[in-house]
Amino acid sequence: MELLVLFGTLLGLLLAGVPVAFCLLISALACMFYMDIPLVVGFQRMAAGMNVFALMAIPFFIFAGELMNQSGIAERLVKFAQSLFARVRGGLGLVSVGSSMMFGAISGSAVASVSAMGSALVPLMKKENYEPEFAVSVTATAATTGLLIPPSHNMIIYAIAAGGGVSIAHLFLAGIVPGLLLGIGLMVATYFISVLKGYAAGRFYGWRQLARSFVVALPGLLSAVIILGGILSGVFTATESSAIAVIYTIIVATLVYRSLNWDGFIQASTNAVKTTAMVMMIIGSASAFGWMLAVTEVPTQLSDALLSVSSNPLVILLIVNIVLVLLGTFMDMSPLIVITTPIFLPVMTGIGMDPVQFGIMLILNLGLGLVTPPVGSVLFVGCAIGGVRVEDTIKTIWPLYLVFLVVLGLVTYLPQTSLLLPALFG
Amino acid sequence: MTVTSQLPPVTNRIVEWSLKVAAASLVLMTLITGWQVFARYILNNSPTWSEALALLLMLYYIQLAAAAGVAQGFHIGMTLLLDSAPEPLRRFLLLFGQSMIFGVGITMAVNGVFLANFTAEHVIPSLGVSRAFAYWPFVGAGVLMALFALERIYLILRKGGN
Repeated sequence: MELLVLFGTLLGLLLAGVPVAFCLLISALACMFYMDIPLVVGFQRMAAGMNVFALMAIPFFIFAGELMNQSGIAERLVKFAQSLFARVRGGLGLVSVGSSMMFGAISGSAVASVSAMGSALVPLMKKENYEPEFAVSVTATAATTGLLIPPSHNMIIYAIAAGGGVSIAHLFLAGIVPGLLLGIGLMVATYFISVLKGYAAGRFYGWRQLARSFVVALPGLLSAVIILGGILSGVFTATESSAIAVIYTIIVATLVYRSLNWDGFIQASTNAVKTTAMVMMIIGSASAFGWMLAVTEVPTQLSDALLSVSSNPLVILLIVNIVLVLLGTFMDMSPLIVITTPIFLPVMTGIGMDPVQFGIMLILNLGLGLVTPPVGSVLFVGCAIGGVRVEDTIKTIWPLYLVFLVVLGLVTYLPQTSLLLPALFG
Repeated sequence: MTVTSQLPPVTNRIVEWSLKVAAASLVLMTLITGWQVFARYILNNSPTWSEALALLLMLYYIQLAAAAGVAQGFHIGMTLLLDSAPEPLRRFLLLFGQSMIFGVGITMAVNGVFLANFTAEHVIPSLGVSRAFAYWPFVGAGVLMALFALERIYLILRKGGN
C-alpha cells in the first residue's frame, strides 16, 4: 500500500502537469504521512540533499555553458568544424556533429548545444538544399554527444544520486569513448545518407584557413582541457575546476574574443540561476523521495521482480534498457536520473555491473529519450529552430536512432567501452 | 502573454530582485571558489571558510530562484495532458497544480521554522554561525512560493492562466 501511495501520487501529479520537483516532494510527504513519519523528515532530507559541496559543480558548469553561449564561442567552433569537414559529401551534416562534440566538451548541455548549433547550421544546411527535417535530425541527435563527452553536469547529478560513492572523474573519463563512438557513428550515418540523397560537398578553404580557425577556436576548447586536466591531475576538485572554467570563460570572452558585454553577462547569470534552481530543487526533492524508496525497500522488490522474469544478466540488462528508454521519452533527463538511480543502481550492481558503467548506460538511454517524442526536449527545440514539424522530422531521424542503439549495445554488453579509460587514467 | 507580464508590479519587482540577488550570489560563489584555489596554490594558505560559505550562498540563491520559478512558471513538468486537455480540464489542472505548490510552500515554511529552531544552538564550525542559517532559506522560499502560487490561482480564476 505504501508503494501505491508513493508512486500513485507521483504519477497522478506528473500527469496533472505539476512541476517535477513538487511531484517528488509531495509524493514523498504523502507516503510519510501515510506511514506516520513526521513530515519534517522530508524537509530535513531535502536540505541534506542540497547541502553537498560536490553539487556546486552543477551551477558552475551551467553558468560556464551560458557564458559560452552568450559570447559566441559556438560560432568559432562551427567555423573550425567547417574548415575541417565541409569538403566531404554531406559536409555540413558532419560539421554539425563535429561542432556539437566540441561544444559538448565545453558546455555539457544538449539543449544549449542544439540551440547554438541549430541556429548557426540549420539555415546553412537548408541553403545547401538539405532536407530541413534531416538538418534538424542531425543537429538534435548530435547535441546529445555533449551529454557523454566531459564535462557533463548530468554525470555529477548521477554521482550524487548514486550516494556519492561514484567518482566524478571516473564518470567523466568513462563518457569519452562512448561519446566519441556516438559522434563518429552519427558522422558515418550522415555521410551515407548524404550520398544516398545526393547532398553536395562543400568547399575546402585550404590549410591556412583550417589552421586559422583552429587558433581562433582554441581558447574556447582549452576550457575542456583545464577542467579535465585539473580534475585528473588532482590539482582541482570537480567543483573547483567548474568554478575555474567559469572564470576562464569570462576572461577569454572579455579579453580574448571581446564578445561578452555587461548585458550578456547579466543574461548568462540570470539564465544560469533559473536552470540551476530548477535542477537543484529536483535534486533536493528527489533526496526526500529517494529516502522513501529506501524505507519502502523498492530496489529490493524491483530486484526480486526482475530476477523472477529471468536470472540471466543479459536479459535483465535488456529489460532495464527498454524501461529506461521508454521513461526517457516521457520525462526530462535530470529528474529521471535522480528518480531512477536509487531504484536501478542496486539491481545493476547486484548483477555485477560497475556503477560507472551503469551511469553511462543511463545517460545514453535518457539522451535517446531527449530526441524522441512525445517529450524529447532537444528534438522539440531543434524543430522550433528549423521551423519543421516533429512528425516529419521523425521520418528522417530513424537511421540516427540505429547509431544510438549500436553504441548503447556496446556500452551495455562490453564494459570496456566505458571502463577502459577510468582503468587506464583513473 | 507570458506569465511574467500577467503579474502585478509588486510581484514582478520581488521576482526580479530575487533573480538579481540569486545571480549575484552565483557570481560571489564563483569568486569564493576561485579564491580557494588561488589561496591554496599561490598563497599556500587554504581558507577554511570558503567551502561552507559558498555552499550556504548556494542554498539561499537556489531557494530564491526556485520561488521566482513558481511566479514565472519555469519549473519543468510533464505538460502532455495539460497541453491537449480541453479548456475547462486544463483550467482545473492548473488550479490543482498551483494549490499543490501553495500547500508545499506553507508546509516548507512551517517545517523550515521547526528545523531552524531545532538547530539554532548548533554552529557551523568553519563559519562560526548557527546551523539554522541553512534552514532559513527554506522558510523564505516556502512563504514566497505560497504567495506566488496564490497569485497564480487568482490569475487563473480571473483570466484562465497561461
